[in-house]
Amino acid sequence: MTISNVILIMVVMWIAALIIYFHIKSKKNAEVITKMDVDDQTYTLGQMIEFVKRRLDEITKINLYDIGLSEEELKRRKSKKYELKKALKGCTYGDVNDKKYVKELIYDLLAKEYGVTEMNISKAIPFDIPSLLTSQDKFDILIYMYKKEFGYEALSEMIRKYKLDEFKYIQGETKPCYVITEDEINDIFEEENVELTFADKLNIVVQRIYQQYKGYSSIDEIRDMNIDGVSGGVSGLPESFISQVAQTDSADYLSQIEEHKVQRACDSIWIMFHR
Amino acid sequence: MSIITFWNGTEDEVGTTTSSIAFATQVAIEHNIRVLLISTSLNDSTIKDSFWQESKKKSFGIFTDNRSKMIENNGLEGLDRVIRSNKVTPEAVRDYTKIVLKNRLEILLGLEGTDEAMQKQYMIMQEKYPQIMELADHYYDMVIVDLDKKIKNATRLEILKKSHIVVTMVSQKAKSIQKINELIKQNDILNEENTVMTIGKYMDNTRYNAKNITRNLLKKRDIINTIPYNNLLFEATQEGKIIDLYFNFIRLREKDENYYFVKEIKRLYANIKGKIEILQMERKI
Repeated sequence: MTISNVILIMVVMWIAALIIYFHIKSKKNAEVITKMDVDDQTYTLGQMIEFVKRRLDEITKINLYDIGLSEEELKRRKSKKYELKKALKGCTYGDVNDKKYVKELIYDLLAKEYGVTEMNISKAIPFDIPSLLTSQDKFDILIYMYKKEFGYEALSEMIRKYKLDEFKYIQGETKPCYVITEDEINDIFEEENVELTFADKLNIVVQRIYQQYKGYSSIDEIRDMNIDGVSGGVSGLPESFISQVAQTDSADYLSQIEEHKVQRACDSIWIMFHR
Repeated sequence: MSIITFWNGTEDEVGTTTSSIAFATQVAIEHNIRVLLISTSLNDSTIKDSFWQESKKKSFGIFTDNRSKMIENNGLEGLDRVIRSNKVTPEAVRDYTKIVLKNRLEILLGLEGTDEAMQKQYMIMQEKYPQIMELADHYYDMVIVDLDKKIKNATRLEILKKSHIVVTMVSQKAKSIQKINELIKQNDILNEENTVMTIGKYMDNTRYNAKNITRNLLKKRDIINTIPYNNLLFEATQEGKIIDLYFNFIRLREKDENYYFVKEIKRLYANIKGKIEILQMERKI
């Protein structure tokens, strides 16, 4: 064997070792991304939703036969995986316990794996700067705090306390109606002056993520309350909608709808209470 | 179908956790029953270290699995998630335990973590132990609880109340034994029917041995239970070799110095079984 042969064998072996090394490394990274690149966007709601989606996908799709478990342990892991899959399916049909289970899992994923802390949670919802909170943020905070105290009577309690069920006139409407406006939510938020712990903040973020990922969007918490029904976007058009259409030319109006400048039927939620 | 709690009612160190480990292992090996050992501790790895040796991290980077930040899906932490979402069943408790001997001995590990969040979580989670004990009782033949000192007073009382038998561990000090005896007589937290007083880390070659304590201090006929100090047990609990130790203990003969230890745990089991049978006859459990 000549020296060149020995060198050639060594080079081939070295390349083979490198290929195996990178192959295993890439496989490991694909399964679980343990090191995160933290930037300004990391703790925004969008990024968190992506993370939760990816992790739940990994947990439910992991091949248990690859891990090398004993028969009994495999049975148990399968049972746990099935439980999670069932919960992920059940929560889309509005099962309260399944929703709780999925939310608890999201909570743990964010707190223990994603590294959400008191310092960075405000990037998702600006809890520290009330002026930056949207009316949806404020409503979510209020309903969470009320739910902690009154359970599924939270919404009824809030409506009762602030007399939100009174017949009232709103700007641009000729007839009085039953309505809860953004201004009222802002006023209630100021009045309540809520103090949130980190666990409260994370629970609110978890609910927001859940309602966008698996739940029923803005009505997700409302539909769990003790109410007779909830409806959105299907009960006809607001009066202002028709009058505005008549006054504007159609192309311009469509662009205004896109920019959410005009009220649409689906912007409102109808909550039904039977007396 | 019985819940047995090992509780140290004194301030002395009497090896409560080690005693519960020894008892659970011996019962699981000698009798064909399903035993669950529940750890109620925070950051106490005694139970874990007794059954498993922590695998050392491999130095070759590509084969190591850096999952330290992954959420825990086993033990109390995983089970707590199920409890919080009202989805807990006796079978669910089983799914979150670790198997030591298939169909014989399983362990529900406590919490681990030094950060403040974990401390808070432990304070909340410990309230779930009574519920877990009751659920586990439906699935396992014997549920053994190692009651930690860090458990809040109210929760501790609830656990003791829900236990069918309380193995009250005491040291060999006369004052400690008298204190627990008074507690039993008060019939409040403990009572004669369901309490088995047991001396932990027991030494026989002293004037305060079990016979003299029973006769002179307790003024009773039945000799007080003991769990003698055992060197091999002490070593095995640190090396993850409890099961190996007990497989060796099976072959012990009367002349062996360790036989006394095995015999005393047998006696403890017989006493507990006797009390359970009486309680069952009286339809109290």
